[in-house]
Amino acid sequence: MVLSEFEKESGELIELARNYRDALLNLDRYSASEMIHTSLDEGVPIKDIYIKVFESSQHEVGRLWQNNIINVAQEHYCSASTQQIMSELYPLIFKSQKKGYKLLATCVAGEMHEIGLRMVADIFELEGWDSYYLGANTPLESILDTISNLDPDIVAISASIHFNIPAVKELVDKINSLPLRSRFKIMVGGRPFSISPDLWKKVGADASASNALEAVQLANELIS
Amino acid sequence: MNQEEFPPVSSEALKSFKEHSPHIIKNTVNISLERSDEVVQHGDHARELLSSGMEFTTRMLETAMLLGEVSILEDQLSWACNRLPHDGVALEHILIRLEIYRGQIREALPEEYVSEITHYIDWMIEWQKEWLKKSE
Ligand code: B12
Repeated sequence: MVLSEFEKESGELIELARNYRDALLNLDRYSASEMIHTSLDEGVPIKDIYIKVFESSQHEVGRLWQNNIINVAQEHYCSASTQQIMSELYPLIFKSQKKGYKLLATCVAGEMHEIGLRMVADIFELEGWDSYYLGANTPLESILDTISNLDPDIVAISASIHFNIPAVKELVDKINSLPLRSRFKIMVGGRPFSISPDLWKKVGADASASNALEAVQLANELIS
Repeated sequence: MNQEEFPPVSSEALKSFKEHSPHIIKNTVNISLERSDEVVQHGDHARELLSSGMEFTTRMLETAMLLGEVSILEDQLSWACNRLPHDGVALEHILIRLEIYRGQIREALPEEYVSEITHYIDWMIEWQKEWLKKSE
């Protein structure tokens, strides 16, 4: 049997992921939210909900839009609802025991896709990091200022559209000449970096990972 | 695809391409619009649609050339072949427009930079031809 991308990405949670996607496509955020809370109560780990339900459903929404099966408004509703439901889980995410490490997470200027990076920041938080999430489309100079003020252990930079990679390179080049550069590592990620495995080296970063779980594992190794 | 055959283009060639690209896009769109039977289905939106398509292509191309990363173009082309027919753009017309675009690059850029840039576009055109053959 040939599995679809959606099935592969959702793994054993495919049924939940399908129901979740369908609820959102039916404009029923309440049912979508309820099924997530029920699954958590039944013991499904929050990390699995993030990767195998939220992320896989968003990727599926992208494919449905690409194939003209849904329109932009439907995509917007799914994206906005998933962000709302992620916020509902914050009491669980933000109660983790802190390790004293700081993550600064940002999208480059021009990059509007923020949910992947937000998931990275949330998973770091869940794993005991303090995450400082700046979101989409952040101007370069203000990122540099924030690095100097925050003194983070990891700077995570996200881009989802290939044409924003020059902005990633420009940002990394500028960060590489900051006086406190030796005090932190730079990780980059997002769709283009998953497609082109050597791209992270070409933009001058220290590492990349293809999802939030791999990212936090790698970060823990990088700083130890 | 052999990635090693595609080193990043020189900064001089890339700078020249960026300077000339608004003009290259405009001319490519104008010539494409003259081929009226290929754009009639877009009605009043034809210029806007073609311009945004060529701008998108140009930004992707700049990224690939800056980093020497032709895989970016491969992903983009296969995405376009899948998505654009839903926007009323036929696959053959993508090829025709890439050829017009290459012609405009040859005309607009100083000669010393042309081959560095067209190396990438030749690859895109070949890729598109292969795709068309496969989808026949
Ligand atoms: C929602 C969405 C949008 C929303 C974003 C809203 C928001 N608030 O974020 C809006 C409407 C703004 C949008 C706009 C566009 N989009 Co859009 N979008 C999507 C969609 C459907 C989902 C994105 C998402 O939420 N993913 C879920 C997250 C969790 O997954 P992820 O991003 O892959 O993140 C994970 C990893 O990549 C990694 N990661 C991410 N960042 C980082 C950073 C670090 C440091 C590390 C280590 C790891 C890491 O970890 C994350 C979590 O595990 C995608 C489909 C897709 N495949 O992602 C298309 C998609 C990315 N978009 C696409 C397109 C074409 C566009 C537009 C160009 C459309 C247009 N014509 O205007 C614009 C470009 C805007 C811009 N300049 O950035 C295409 C790109 C195709 C291509 N070949 O380039 C896609 C793939 C859809 C498709 N299948 O056609 N989009």
